[in-house]
Amino acid sequence: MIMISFAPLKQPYDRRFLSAGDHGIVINMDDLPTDHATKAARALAHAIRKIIADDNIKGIEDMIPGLTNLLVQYNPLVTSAASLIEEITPLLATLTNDEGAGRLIHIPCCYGGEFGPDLLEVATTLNMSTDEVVKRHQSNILDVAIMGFLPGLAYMKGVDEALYLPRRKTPRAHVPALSLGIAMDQTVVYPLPSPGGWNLIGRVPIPLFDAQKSDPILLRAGDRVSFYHIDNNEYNKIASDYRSGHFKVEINP
Amino acid sequence: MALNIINPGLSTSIQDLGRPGYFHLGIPIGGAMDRFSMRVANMLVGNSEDAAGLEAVFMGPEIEFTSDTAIAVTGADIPVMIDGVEAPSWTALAVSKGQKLSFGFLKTGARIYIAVAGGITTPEALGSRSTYPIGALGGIEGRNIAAGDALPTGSAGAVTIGASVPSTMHRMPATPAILRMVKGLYWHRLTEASGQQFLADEWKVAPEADRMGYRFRGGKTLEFVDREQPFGAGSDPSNIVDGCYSYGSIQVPGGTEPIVLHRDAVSGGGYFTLGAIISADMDYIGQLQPHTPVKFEAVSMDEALSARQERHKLLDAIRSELS
Repeated sequence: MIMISFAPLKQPYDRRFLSAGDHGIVINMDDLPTDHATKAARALAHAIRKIIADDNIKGIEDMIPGLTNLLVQYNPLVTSAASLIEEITPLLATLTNDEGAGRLIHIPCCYGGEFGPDLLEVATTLNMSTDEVVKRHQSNILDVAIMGFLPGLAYMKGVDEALYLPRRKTPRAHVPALSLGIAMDQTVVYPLPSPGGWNLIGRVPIPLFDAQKSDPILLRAGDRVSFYHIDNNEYNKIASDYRSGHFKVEINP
Repeated sequence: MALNIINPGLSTSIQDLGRPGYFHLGIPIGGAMDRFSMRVANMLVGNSEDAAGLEAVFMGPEIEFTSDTAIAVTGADIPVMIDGVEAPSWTALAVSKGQKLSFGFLKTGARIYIAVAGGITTPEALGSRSTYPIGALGGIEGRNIAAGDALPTGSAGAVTIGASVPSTMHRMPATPAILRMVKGLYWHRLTEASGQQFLADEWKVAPEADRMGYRFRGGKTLEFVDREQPFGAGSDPSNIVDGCYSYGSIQVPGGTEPIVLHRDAVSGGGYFTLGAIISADMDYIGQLQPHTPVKFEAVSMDEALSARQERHKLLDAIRSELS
């Protein structure tokens, strides 16, 4: 478990609870720096899950953490925005750093070549060797800030500062599934083929979204991710082992 | 028993009432755009209301039945034909082995719902048969139906052939369509005059309207109150630090064309949202054709909840009518 402290929330704050229609409320935390707000939103989701487990709150259907807020979707036939606000408000005063996550997941990646068409350009722009880019990308354990936009797309933060680059000026119309892209302090792996503007430096051999599985999404907000380098042969072997059910992703609690 | 697809129509997909509970992983709720019509079609053929049926957009499919069964067609107003002979919609119809269902030209509305006794029984993905092509989930291998598909169906319950739902109990949008919304989220970012203008303007459904979202154009560009743009939000005042979207929420990229996020919407992004369409009116959006005039009407939370209750009561009334 990593312990992160975040700045205290403003109390009171008139933009804390925003309406998201008749079946959702947003708990807005934009009074905190974004990094803190992301963690506070996840911590709040965890605190709410605990009181759901104790049966002290009813009617919540889903909770979606964003970078600076938490969307709570509820069944208006069971509860109301007013009751939820009343039930959630005390949790805000006692938010702890406990996110209830903290799994460490090791994901293989084949950098460069046809899988990482932007690696050379990234290295040239940053004035370092491609080996240095690959080494630095593996050096930091990344933090899954939020999930979303596409099934299984994880926004992983905490990339080595020496690799900070904006997104590409012209997005690609087609990015192959499982491409690994970097931009600013973040890394994404495209779960599905999609248009995209991130700098593609590698590809992973295992799906982050597997519709065939009962639990189809590998990563969760709050997980930590460590990438390790594999070559083309290892890539092909892991991909085929995964398909035949013989590759197990290393997950540490 | 199966449905043999001879011609799929323009865009026809298997849908039920969707897969709630996975939005935090980026998987949308999905399901029928007009859930009311899907539920009623199922009721007519004796199915549970969450059974899977077909949702066809603008054009009906052509389907052959491999055994005797019952079907019902609801939703958009379109001539229903059995072996070329017109048959009533919103009615339980008996069809025989080898007969073909086809459709005439769409009159009003946008989405046609076809239920078959026993429901379509393609494999479930995450608790639902709804097709989500972007994620290759549900449907037939994650895609819309195609010519040559044979859709399996389950065992039928009791059906009263000829039972029908009178037109006074249908639920279709008016012209112009009034879409009720609850202000919220980032409404406070608009100037007061611009907020009033948004509600006063008549908008038109843009051609870019699908299961992910409906876009509207024709109203005035929004004006925002001055603020210091937060880090990470980009320079355009319609941008925010990436946040989560609730389905039904109204985002306005660039402040020009509102988009209502619908059943297959993404779960978040960097555009400000000024409110959300009330649940009771989401079905109406699924029945809007491009160029239909639309007005947004702000209502209170209490009004939103009573609209939801009214929709429930209407469904209850139809259940008793048919029982």
